Amino acid sequence: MKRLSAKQKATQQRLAKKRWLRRLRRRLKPHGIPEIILSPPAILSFRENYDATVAFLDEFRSAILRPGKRREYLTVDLAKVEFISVPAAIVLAAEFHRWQIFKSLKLKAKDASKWAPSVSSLLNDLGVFDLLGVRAPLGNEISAENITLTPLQSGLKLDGAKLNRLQTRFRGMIEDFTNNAAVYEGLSEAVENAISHAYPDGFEPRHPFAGHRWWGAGCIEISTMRLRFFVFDQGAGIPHTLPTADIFEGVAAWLASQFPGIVHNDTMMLRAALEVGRTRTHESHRGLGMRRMADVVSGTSNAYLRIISRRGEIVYDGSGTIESRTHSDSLGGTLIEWCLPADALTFAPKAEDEDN
Amino acid sequence: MKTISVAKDFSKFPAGRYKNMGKGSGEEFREKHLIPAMEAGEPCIVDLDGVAGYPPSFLEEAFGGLVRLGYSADDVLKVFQFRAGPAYSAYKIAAETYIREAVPD
Repeated sequence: MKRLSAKQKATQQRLAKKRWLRRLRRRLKPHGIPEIILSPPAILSFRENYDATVAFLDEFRSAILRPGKRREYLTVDLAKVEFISVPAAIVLAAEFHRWQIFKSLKLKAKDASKWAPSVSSLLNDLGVFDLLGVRAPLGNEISAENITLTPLQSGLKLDGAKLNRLQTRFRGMIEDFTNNAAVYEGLSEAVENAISHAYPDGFEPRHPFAGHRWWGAGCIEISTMRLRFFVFDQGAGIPHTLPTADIFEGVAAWLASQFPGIVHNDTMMLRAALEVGRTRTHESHRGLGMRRMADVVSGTSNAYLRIISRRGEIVYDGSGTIESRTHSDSLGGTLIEWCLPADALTFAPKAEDEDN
Repeated sequence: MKTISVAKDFSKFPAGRYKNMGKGSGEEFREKHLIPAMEAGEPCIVDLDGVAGYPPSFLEEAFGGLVRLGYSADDVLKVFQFRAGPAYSAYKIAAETYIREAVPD
């Protein structure tokens, strides 16, 4: 190695000090990168506060999926949230996931100690932090509603083992609980619809799709002993894709008979799909599987199937009644929820429940 | 007589219609197990027990798909006999219905 003279050594030391000071100054200087802070409403729930919840989700999507390479820090201030419902948490988690997929970012849970314990606990139980590779905030408390969730599952393919896991978690929590074949089949049909119909070719979405992706989760509410299962996709929505389904002929005829001479909105389309799908005597080749999705709750008291898609929402209860709501803004995909009392699954025919 | 157990020889989690949707689809089951059995022409038992459930798209594509490929419904029903315990007996009826109602392409 070449020996440095005393003069050369002093020069090197002077230059190193200069570099170190320059780096220090750069670190302390304001970076100039703008920070956008998104504040969700205090109540994030489709049932209690649909308009504000959907408006926030839309603002969030627009912020994270803005085209171009502008540098900015984006913060979602979850400290403002006092309550988040399970379906809203699933949709929000799916948006975080899409954000991470598109921007290849490592997300951070900022100021998580200020979050409401129920919000932090729900997101943690849902496995949002694991899904995003984010360190879970410490000090999670059991949520007030006493909800136990299965970790959020997601995929681009239909994976029966993953869907089966949404039920397996409840074994041991509910006496005599067995995985239910009808629930498995309903979930499977919903996921298959998401993959093969929800993201049609040629459709130009307002926000880009993260592939033909689906998200699924389940939860049990201990206080009411109700089980809820969810499948969500960020696609074009059932009312948009329905005209290409092979049940559409029947749907169009039903709409013409029930709502003659008017423009059919999203809720009417959803209702028609369910009415036509569930009354068919057999599942058609390449049908929508709507009947099997309704079968999960049919004949069970205190059970319902809820579908929110685009601006439409319908709730089909076990006795066969359908309630509907039309919203002013689109959910940004399709959310399917089954809710049924835990004892409805306790003595169900036993299906295989081991993951292989 | 040869027996094809869906749970043991194929998957405990059958789901989906086509292979491009993921593992365990009706199309995959048909190609791996049902078509070879049809080609052999020997009677065969399909054991339906032991799976998480049978989504209708899986069952329809596996069995109705044979008829769409050109096998006659009578030939399919001659080759395959279904075995199912009480929890799975509805699927036996469904599979037979899909075979009878499928229309050749």
